[in-house]
Amino acid sequence: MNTSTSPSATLTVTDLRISYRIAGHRVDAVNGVSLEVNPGEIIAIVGESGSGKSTLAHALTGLLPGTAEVSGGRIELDGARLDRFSERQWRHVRGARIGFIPQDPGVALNPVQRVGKQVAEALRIHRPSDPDTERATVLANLERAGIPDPGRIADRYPHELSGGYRQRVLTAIAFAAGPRFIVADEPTSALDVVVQQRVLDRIERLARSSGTAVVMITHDLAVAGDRADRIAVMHGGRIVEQGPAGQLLSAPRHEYSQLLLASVPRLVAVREQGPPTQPLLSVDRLSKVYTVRGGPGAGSLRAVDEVSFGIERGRTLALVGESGSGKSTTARLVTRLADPTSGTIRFDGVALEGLGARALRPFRRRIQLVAQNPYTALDPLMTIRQIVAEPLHAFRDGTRRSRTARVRELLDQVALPATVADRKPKELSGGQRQRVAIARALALRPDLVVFDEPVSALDVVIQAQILRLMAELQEEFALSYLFISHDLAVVSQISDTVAVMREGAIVEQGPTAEVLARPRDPYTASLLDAVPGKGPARTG
Amino acid sequence: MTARLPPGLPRYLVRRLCQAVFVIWAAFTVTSLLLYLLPSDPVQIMIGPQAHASPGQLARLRHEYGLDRPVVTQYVTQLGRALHGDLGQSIQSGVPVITELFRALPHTLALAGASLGLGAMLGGSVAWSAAYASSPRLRAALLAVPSLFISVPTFWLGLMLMELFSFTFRAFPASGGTGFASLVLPAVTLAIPSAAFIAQTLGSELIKAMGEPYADTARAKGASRSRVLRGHALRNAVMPTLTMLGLLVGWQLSGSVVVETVFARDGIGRLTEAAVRTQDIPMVQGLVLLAAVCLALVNLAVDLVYPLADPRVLVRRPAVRSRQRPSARAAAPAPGGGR
Repeated sequence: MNTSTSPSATLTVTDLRISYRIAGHRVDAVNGVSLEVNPGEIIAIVGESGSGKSTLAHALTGLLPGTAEVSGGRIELDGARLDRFSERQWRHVRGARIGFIPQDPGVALNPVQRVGKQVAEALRIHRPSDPDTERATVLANLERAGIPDPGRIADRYPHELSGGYRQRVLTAIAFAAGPRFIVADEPTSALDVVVQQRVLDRIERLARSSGTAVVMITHDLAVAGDRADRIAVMHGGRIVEQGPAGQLLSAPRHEYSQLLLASVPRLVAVREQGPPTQPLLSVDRLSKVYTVRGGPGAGSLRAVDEVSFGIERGRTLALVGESGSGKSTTARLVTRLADPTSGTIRFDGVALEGLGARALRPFRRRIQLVAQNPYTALDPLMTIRQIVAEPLHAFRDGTRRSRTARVRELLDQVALPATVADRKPKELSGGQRQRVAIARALALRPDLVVFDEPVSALDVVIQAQILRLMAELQEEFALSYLFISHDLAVVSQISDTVAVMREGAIVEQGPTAEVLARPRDPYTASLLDAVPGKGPARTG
Repeated sequence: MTARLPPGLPRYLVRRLCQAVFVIWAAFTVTSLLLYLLPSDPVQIMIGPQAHASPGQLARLRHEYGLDRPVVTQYVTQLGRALHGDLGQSIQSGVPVITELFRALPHTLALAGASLGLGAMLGGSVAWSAAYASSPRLRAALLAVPSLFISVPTFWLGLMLMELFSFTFRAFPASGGTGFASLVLPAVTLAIPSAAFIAQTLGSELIKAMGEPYADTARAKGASRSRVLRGHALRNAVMPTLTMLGLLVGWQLSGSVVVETVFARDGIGRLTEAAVRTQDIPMVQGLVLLAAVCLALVNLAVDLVYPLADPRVLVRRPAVRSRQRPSARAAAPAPGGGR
């Protein structure tokens, strides 16, 4: 069979329907999608989780799980009916004609094989292997994917590389056999903004220079607007609107596209600088040093390096930085889940750093933490009622009846229906779970809530809702927030002041509007530059 | 790709070796202590339950064997002797324990080796077929078979095989320890449950690995199912199976007690059965020590193979990540990147 694709080939999807068989039931995931991917174009498919966009991506690469079934429609490549292909026929299409960039670089590479070998396999499957030139080809592929020192990286195992590097290796694999089409399934949703920008730069550059068409699946309309020629908005298994990127972003017609667009956080400080209030928390030259034993990296690691900041009552300080910058460690120090090596933490006039477990207990109820991942931060065996009431039990707060009333009140405050109280976390969506986590944090009426990336695992629409809820609660209960994020656009929606962290130290801090408008540190400038959705949208 | 000696390797090796030595020492010490605490009198056992000796004679014998000295002195003397390969004499036969062990060991090693080899082949094939099968029903059926065989008692399986192949078909001898033919039935008896263990662990691990995102990445390259199994799933699935293999060797030792008795074969298992039955204390102690050495060696071997199968076992190197160069970025925007 013909394994090369003529440059003018198109990938056409007509009225595609896909359903899953789950416990005897049929659940429709894709309900009649029609789409045309033209040679050399970048098309973004934007939608929230559950919209069917990942199912579509898997159908385009023949990687649907066994429980999925194409119940109607066609997928055609150069007139060949891909949806009717056998596994054997698909093998000639995958890699050679349609490449695939998976979602999570943390798990998408074989952990026990050197990455160079994994790139080599992509070449070897479709061409006779030539041991003399193979290594050079592998290195060239890695270099094109944005790895500056391919000779060294090729001999590494995945766990020895950062997420950004792993995603570049996966990019190299997808492009290795020279496919005319690439399906990228949320290629950067697991990465920081700065790394996301670089990886997307690479994918876009490789695609444009080789004339490869890219179908980019994303939940981020801003990313789509920055990269794609055309955008298709998916909702409930259907494409509700598609068109040239510029047109869709400037004048979305469908109400769901309008909602999506309105939910994208703009890089503009929402809050104005108010009069100073009383200080609640002040942190002075706080450090955390870890000792690393064994290996060439042995020695001490300064995870947090002489960090100083303050939070006033009723205000929000955002701590911004990429992963590994020490911001989460700082959160753990402030909540006293970890012990600082040096420095002071003053909360409402009391030094917390030297207090033992018993002396800390009254402060535990005044400082609460909302963790990053709403999927793992709730005990799966407990009901929502038990989860929200747990802090009340821990502090023997109130009677049985008053606790029930308090749970109902808290659920109401986070805009959850009272009926969720008897459900288990797995029955709730990501956004609902994060609301539960917030309700639990508010149960003891704290003064300070530390949010560790509270919205980074959520879709953009849900993200906007949670941010709005956080602002309302802050207003209503005069809460102070320490808000940790890697995304300056999100930060701009909620914070009064911003501190930018890099390699354990704060490189810049000040009022949000000022930092966004006039960054003094080049690192802050690069973070601002990385935020998607600022550039002029591409037009057809 | 080039082979490099990982930086954490020497440290890892030394630590594993020390653990193995500790396990052997601990087994020796605990058995010494337990046997000392037992209510039975070694001298009485030595002279036989029927023989009546005067208290004076018993005391003299005790003194002769050093049994009247403090427990610590006895233990240190024993440990010193054991380090020189002297485990005392069998009370029953009067032959040095070490001689008895070395005489019996080859028989059991042959049995264990044959049954492990057979078990690995059989179990491996079932696991592979289950993972390769594209029909979920066939896969479920293949994975259900092992749990059936795990629950079959060894002695019953041995007797059934003997009935069928020795008495009905007269294909293999029912007893004896000479020649290859006599090895077949005992080895098969032990191999079937071993195969079931291996099939169960390796099978479910292979199927789990085939569902991992890295298997999808390989399929997206155009790799066939067998290529993904061979090139990616197998090495990831082999790790938990290796750990299980260490446990399986211990199971083989205990299984050999039953199988060697049922088939009247010479070997460690039979020696153990006799030593326990006759309360031959030095022999029991020697056998426990041997079992400890075997287990420690197998686990050491597994630990040494581990880093070959999984590079993450050794101390990690710091991850390579892209450095921040904002100034360089600003100066040289990506060409063709459109921004």
